Amino acid sequence: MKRFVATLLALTAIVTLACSSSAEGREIDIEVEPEACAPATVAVTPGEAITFNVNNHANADREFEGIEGTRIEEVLVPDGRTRHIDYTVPDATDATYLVKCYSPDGPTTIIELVAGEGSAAVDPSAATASIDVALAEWSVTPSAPSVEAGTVRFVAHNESETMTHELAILAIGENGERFEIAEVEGLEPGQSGEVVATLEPGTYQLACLIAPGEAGSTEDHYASGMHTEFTVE
Amino acid sequence: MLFSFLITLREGFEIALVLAIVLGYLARTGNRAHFGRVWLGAGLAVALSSVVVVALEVTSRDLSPAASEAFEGVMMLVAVVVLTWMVFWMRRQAAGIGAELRRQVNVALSGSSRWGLAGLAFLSVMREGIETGVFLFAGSTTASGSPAMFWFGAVAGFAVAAALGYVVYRGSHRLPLRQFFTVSGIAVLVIAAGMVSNGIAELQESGFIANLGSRPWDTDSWLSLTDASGKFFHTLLGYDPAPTWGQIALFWGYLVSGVAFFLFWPHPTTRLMPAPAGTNETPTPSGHAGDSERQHAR
Repeated sequence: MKRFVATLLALTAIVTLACSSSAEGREIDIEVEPEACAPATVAVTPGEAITFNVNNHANADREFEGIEGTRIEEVLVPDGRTRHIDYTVPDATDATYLVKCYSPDGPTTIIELVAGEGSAAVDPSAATASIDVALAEWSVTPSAPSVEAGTVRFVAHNESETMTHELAILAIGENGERFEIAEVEGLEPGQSGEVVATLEPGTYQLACLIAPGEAGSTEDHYASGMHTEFTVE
Repeated sequence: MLFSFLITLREGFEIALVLAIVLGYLARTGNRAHFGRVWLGAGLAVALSSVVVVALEVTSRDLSPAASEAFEGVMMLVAVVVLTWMVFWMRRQAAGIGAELRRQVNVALSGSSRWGLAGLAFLSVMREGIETGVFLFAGSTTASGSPAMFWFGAVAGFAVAAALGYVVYRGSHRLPLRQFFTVSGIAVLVIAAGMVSNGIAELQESGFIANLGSRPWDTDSWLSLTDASGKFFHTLLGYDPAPTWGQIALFWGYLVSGVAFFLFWPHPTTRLMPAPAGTNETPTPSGHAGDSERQHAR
């Protein structure tokens, strides 16, 4: 009997110790208001350790959890309370991780953790190649199907007579998931715009990601056909 | 790897504990023949939750959070009912053990209780199977270490949980029969009380029911659910840093009345006398335990 109890206690102690590893990192405050959680986008560095301080002022309970593979287990944040949630950003560059801040029967905010350098970090004058891209209903047509790796300038022309479009450059992950790495937004009919991105060899997509309800649109532009494969050699 | 390991260890350990107690009970009462039914129930649950998980992946559809939480909550409360039934069923059997062990137990097992045991194993596994499966699928696609390491962690977690369950099962053979019934019965009541609190919490979170009152305290800074150890106590014992009054009342109400009934409610056929202190303290090989019980029962 004593040996049995001792064994059980020892096992419990081992399991508890094994489970209590946690690393605290850079603190990021998430404010939970009745309508939404803020901020909706957080810039992170690959491999970085983060601690979210989730402050709930929503007058109702909220939950915080990683979705689509982001490794944060569901945590209940009761009304008026704060929860500290540790997360280590994976090492991959140019990736986006999604976290859902929500109530199952109420408002939902998807918080994007954007890892890696976006277009802002690229010096436009360093561009070594330039690609013209025509945007229309419903097609994205680059002036060339491929380009050599390096810093590339994309000049987008909205050829539509009625619709607002945008150009997003999407990297394709190992499992087919798409990561937006640069974009030029809100091009009115006839308008042009530029975006510069540093591209490694691989397969990319050029696309318009305007969704129903965005920029006065009632259609999902990507699903309607505004995307095309683009190769970096 | 550690991430998936901790999840499967935690969920697996609870399942392993319940199965170890049920199998230990069957072994101690000469009912090894019914092991198959328990494994059948567990196996069916593994198969069914795998099918659901694969179907969700193939159709790339997510369970709505409200639906999956409500599902889990309801499954937990059903599991509480079955666990409670099991404890008192075991207690009734224990009462007759002194007299004619085999006949008594065989009579009991010939009824619906056989399927009750299979159902219990099924519920234990099914309850967490779908969620853990969905979670593992989603988690394995994020690039942090290789998917192979991720799955290795998940399998290792289940393996360690199974090993711990086996230790409990073997250890239960060392206990004198009476103590085995008492200890395992109370252990099951404690686990079930945790499920009462967790089940209510899931239903509250899903919005299926309103919060049952305010949350009188918050011990999150002391032991947080965001820590793996807090999560472990949450899964196994129903620890909640900020429970609602309803969770508190139902947890303690269930636990206190359950244990009181279990220990003190006289069963009509109870003839067992308390064993002398000496025999309780000595680990007794299982074959002899029944004999000493039989003497005291007469």
